[in-house]
Amino acid sequence: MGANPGKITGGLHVRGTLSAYRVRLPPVGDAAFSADSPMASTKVVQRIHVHRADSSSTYAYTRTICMLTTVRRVMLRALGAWQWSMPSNSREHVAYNLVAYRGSESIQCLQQILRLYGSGTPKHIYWVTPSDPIGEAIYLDAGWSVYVVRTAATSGPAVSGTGSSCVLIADEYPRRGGIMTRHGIPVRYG
Amino acid sequence: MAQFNEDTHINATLSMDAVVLPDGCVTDDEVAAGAEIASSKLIHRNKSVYSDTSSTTAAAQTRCMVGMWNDGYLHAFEVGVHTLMSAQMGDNRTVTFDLQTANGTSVLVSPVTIDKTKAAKTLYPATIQSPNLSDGDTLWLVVTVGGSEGIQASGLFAVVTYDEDPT
Repeated sequence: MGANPGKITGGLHVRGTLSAYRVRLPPVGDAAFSADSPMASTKVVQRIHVHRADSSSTYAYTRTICMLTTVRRVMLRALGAWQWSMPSNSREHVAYNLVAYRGSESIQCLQQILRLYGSGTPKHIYWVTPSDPIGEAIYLDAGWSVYVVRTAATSGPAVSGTGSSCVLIADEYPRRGGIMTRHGIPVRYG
Repeated sequence: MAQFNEDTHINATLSMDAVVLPDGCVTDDEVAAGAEIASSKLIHRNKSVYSDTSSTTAAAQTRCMVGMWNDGYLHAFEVGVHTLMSAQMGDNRTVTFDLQTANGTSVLVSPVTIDKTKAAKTLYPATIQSPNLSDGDTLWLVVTVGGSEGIQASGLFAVVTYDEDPT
């Protein structure tokens, strides 16, 4: 061990309580956290899953589904969609769009609409990542409602497949914040 | 290694390249109110709920309840009905709930059956056989109905509780 005032270059063990005016900790692992004193939900960013599914016997039809309403700042992470059975005609598809509304404001959350074709795999989840036109993550403040807009093919036998399902994944922050990009730059939409 | 055999206080900032903290020493008090610990550092608990309207007679159906974005762990599958089936002598209606993977394999030790001996608005838990979930897995609620005598239950519901690893 080598030492000079204020610096220890080797290991240090304290057989008692170590306290300090201020501490800068390196990253610590799960074991350091107390199971008897769970961390308050106000201190963590919560991951949210919202699922919506038709019965496996129901043919896909066009509908708009409210998936999420925001009471705090939310980051949209992913939209997944899949079906129990897929269209038999590969030229047809079921399309999923994601749009957020707050009063007269609206945000188109997908830069590429998710389309499930008959050549796809039943019960396989297809994912898209919500983003703004320049590829930035989308954050929503309180008061937004987020809708999946599903558009189904309407011609031919069983062209839309059955059992349409989707999941929206978002992170909810513990406190309110404005709409901004990942880099903290305010963005206007609508 | 330097060793201090008594309580030690430093009247300045203590920093280190690495630290071994005693297990469980970080309680809620040690985490700043504004910490906003990133979702990428947490294993997330999720609940997926499906519920028919209370007046909808229980009917056979298959419906997706979970789509996994990462690996995870299935904790519970609980089911029930809003209004129980009739319980006169001879009545034999049943509603059976299973939870299956995309290939139709049950993840339960056995499906849960609600019959006239059960109670309304009560959660009945299943025993999980295969709790490990993988990225891309889907879990499907599979409901079957049985019996022919009496009035069938209505307002079926099911709750899946699961964890998902961070991304």
